[in-house]
Amino acid sequence: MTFTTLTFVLFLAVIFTVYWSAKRCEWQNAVIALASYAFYGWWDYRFCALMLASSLVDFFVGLGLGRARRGGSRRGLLLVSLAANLGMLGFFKYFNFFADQFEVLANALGWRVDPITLRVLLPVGISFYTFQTMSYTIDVYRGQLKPTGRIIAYLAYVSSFMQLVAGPIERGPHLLPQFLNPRRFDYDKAVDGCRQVLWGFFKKLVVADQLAVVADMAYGDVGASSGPMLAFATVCFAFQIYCDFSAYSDIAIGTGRLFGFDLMRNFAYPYFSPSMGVFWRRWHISLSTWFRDYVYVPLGGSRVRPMRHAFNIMLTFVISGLWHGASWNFIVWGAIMGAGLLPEALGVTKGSGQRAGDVPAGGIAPIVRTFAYVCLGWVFFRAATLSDALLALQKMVVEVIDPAAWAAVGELLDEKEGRAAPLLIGIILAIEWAMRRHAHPCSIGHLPRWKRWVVYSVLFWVTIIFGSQGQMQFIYFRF
Amino acid sequence: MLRFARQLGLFILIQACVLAGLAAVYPGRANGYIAATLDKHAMIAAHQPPRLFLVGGSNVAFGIDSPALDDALPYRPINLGLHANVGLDFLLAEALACVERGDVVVVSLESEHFRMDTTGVTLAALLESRPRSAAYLSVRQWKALLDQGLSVLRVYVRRSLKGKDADREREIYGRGAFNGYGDVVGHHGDTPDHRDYGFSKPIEEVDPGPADDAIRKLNRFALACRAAGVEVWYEFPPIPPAEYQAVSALLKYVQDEMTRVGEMPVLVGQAEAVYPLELFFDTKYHLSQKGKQQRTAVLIDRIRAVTDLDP
Repeated sequence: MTFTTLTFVLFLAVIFTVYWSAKRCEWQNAVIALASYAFYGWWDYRFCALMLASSLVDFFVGLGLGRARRGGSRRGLLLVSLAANLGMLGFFKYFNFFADQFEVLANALGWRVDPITLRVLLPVGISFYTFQTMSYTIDVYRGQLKPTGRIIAYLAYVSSFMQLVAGPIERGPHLLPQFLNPRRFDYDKAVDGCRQVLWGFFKKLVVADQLAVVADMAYGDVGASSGPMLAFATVCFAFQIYCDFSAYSDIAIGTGRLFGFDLMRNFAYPYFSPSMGVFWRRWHISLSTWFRDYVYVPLGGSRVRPMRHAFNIMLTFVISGLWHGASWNFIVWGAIMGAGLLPEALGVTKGSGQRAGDVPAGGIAPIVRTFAYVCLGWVFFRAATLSDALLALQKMVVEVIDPAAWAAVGELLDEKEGRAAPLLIGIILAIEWAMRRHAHPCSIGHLPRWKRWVVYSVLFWVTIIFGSQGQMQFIYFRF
Repeated sequence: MLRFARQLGLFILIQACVLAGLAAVYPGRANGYIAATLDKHAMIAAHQPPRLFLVGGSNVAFGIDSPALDDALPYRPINLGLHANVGLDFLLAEALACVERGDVVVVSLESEHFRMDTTGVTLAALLESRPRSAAYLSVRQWKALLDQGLSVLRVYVRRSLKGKDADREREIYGRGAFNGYGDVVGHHGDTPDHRDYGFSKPIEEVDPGPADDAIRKLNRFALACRAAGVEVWYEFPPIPPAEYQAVSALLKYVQDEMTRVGEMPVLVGQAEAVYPLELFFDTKYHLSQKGKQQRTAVLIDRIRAVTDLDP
């Protein structure tokens, strides 16, 4: 089930009513677990078995870790969890990629291999829930979390429909206790949750899906698109992916608040970052911190020699790229993002401790510079193939002084979608800049009621009238 | 909780009042393209077997010259084609509910049906014109419609805001554009204001899942028809060369599978259904008058051949 559908709105209304009608925490957890499996099975009921298997493995490994005293058996149990989760992820997400690479390599070496024709369907959200359930086991192994014996609470924690498919990737110590303890309805929290959900709908349906038209147009045929057009499309994609992904997080967090949960913040106005270091503290926070805690720190983090530190950063980001998708594009994207952190990490440039609401000391220039670098990465993220990405970059550089190439942008701006794109980007930037000190841009609880209701109504009707006509999936569903 | 429910209820009530205001100025669809489904069903009721049912999306609506079929064959043509976005399940269920012993059916599907579930907001518009057609929807289509509920609402709100102008711009896509057989004839001799062929992205590797699913449904449909004493054939719809280049891998796969299973004989193969671009009107599936005459002539020959009718 997708958040931005009527199905979800109706589903939410029903589950909300049933959930708060249940007085005991155990029953509420059962409602969440059942609802979450129904939510997930709406795509394909076969996916549910996979999620259940992943959850059960880690639940019982967790219990085993709680009982085991010897280091060897604890390590063995951890390995079972890692092998099960990474094996599942590897098979469903990377089989096709590695099979193709093997075929290319074998052909290059002159070996004849039959094409491997097994085509594996990628279950939605597998990268998210396997990371969540795996982190539980690692935290229990490290002694940072006590294993739970309450299976329904655990199943609800792993499968909770609020953040199942595209995060935020929650961690046991933060979310699991919320499932184990009684929850009470909080009016202010629920109202703010509704605001965040409404804002998420607006961002996804009005902004992201409209910008997608421009990005798809240019990147759909890189060979036929001019350099300036591709540059414009890249900026559109930068805002598309931000509004798409952060909208999902907003709806997830807002929905969580309706049910009495506090999910972790996933985005903190990342495009106002003055450096790549700050950007990665504000973009997809739940994934960045996951990789920090489970990959970067175990590799030695920054407490090693500079070259090793650089290696740790690069390896972490390359793995993060591969997590996004099984293709060379994502690996290169990860490498570009990692390389962007090196000057700051190695002390070549000064880091910034800027908080979300602050204006950087150097004015707007560092923000623009960081955004440009992030866009360089988005070229690889968006292009269908590595050669498309390289061609796009080549065109952007070579055709920058070609007036004929700019004409295509002019023509696009004459069309409805083209005209709308800069306007939508401007609206998002203006609203976010004005609200940058708040948890989300629709935090308007301080306004008088009539003003708040005008804002809600405008957002609601603008979303209905100007929302995208088709039904576009969230970009991160692919991951 | 009560306070929250009260506030939320009040907010929903206010928005419902706005919606009710919009409903009051909603122009309806009595003269819209999709409302032609009413005329097509009236036509079915008015004619007895043997009839020739033409089943498919808009390629059938725009691409068949039924009067020529009527002259050449001993069947009364009934063109059921409207729009691909009513979905394959609906197209087949509607046809199955209409046929009787002695009828024959030619199915002609857009390649999209073999790639995805094409159910879209058009189906909601069709149900608005003819609520009884809800009987033809599969569970999967109800689910798809529910998922697209916000898009459906969006269409209704936009139409209400446009008022009487909602259908004015595209008269070719109006109920009046159809003839007494269910063919679109409003575009004959016309030059389109706007062409958007909407060529598909090249398909390098066929995803057998949706294609096999569609073929299975076609086979089930053929078996059910045959059990009811109705002959069924398949015809690949004409497409321009650029579209063929993009989707030929899929079309070949579909033809091979259909031939292998053999429940629904193929009258016109995919390689034969490539027509020059100038024979198309405004999209890759909508033939001009000349194009539809050419397609119909081929169809007449093939039906004669398989039914042993004299030329």
